[in-house]
Amino acid sequence: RLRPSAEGDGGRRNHYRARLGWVSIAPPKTPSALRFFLHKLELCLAGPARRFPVAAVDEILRDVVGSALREQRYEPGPCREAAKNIAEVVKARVKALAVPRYKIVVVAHVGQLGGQSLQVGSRCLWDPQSDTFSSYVFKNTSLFAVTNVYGVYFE
Amino acid sequence: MEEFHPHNDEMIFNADEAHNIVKECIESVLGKADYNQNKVNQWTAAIVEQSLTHLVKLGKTYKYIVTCAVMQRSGAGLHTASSCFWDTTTDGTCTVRWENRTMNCIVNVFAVAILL
Repeated sequence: RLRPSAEGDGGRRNHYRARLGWVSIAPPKTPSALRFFLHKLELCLAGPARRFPVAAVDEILRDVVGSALREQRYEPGPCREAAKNIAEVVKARVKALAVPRYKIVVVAHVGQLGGQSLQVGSRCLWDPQSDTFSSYVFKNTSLFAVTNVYGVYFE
Repeated sequence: MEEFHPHNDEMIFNADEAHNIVKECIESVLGKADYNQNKVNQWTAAIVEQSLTHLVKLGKTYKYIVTCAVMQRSGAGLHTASSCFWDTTTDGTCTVRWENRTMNCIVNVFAVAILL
């Protein structure tokens, strides 16, 4: 619970004692601004109500990518469409999981197996306690696909 | 009683700025190098980490996702697609394609706004 404390440096800054520690801010000017601020701060400290369901997303990836590419040979036209299709369908199904306050990013790479080498890397600047990702690699005799789904909490 | 509403309408993702930042990072890491299986791991890590560092220096309240794919040029095809569920007024993406004689590089930057 949050409550204003009596301390402060000459009234210019108030220290609000929160569950995790001291937060130092300039005081909001009106009572409704103060209420708004405290409400937002409490929500912020509480974190996401429901976590991003990584296992369910893994299952969606296996299902969508597998059924799109299982018997497919690499051809430029159809594989370009398949990459777009996979990205759209995975996004729609993850969106249907309806996890509150999570934004979703889906990236799909589909390429030809030609003896060449490919390295895909990603880094994220986010809050590791609320944000996460899921990844799936598919291969058959003529093509490969790497699909990543990132779930970012809108805090 | 008047209700307090915060304004968040100055937050727009500047894709051109991000494009320039990422292009410079790729040039500085891959520059005149030839494809090398042993080094490609550290190249992708370096590109991604340098891009993130420079994006953070812009000082905006965004979370960033940076993806980098480096592929040897052998005539084989590669298609990349992305789909996002977010707030189109504040969030954005930028893709940079770069190549030299022996390799192709594709970097995606996704910027997701947070409310402060």
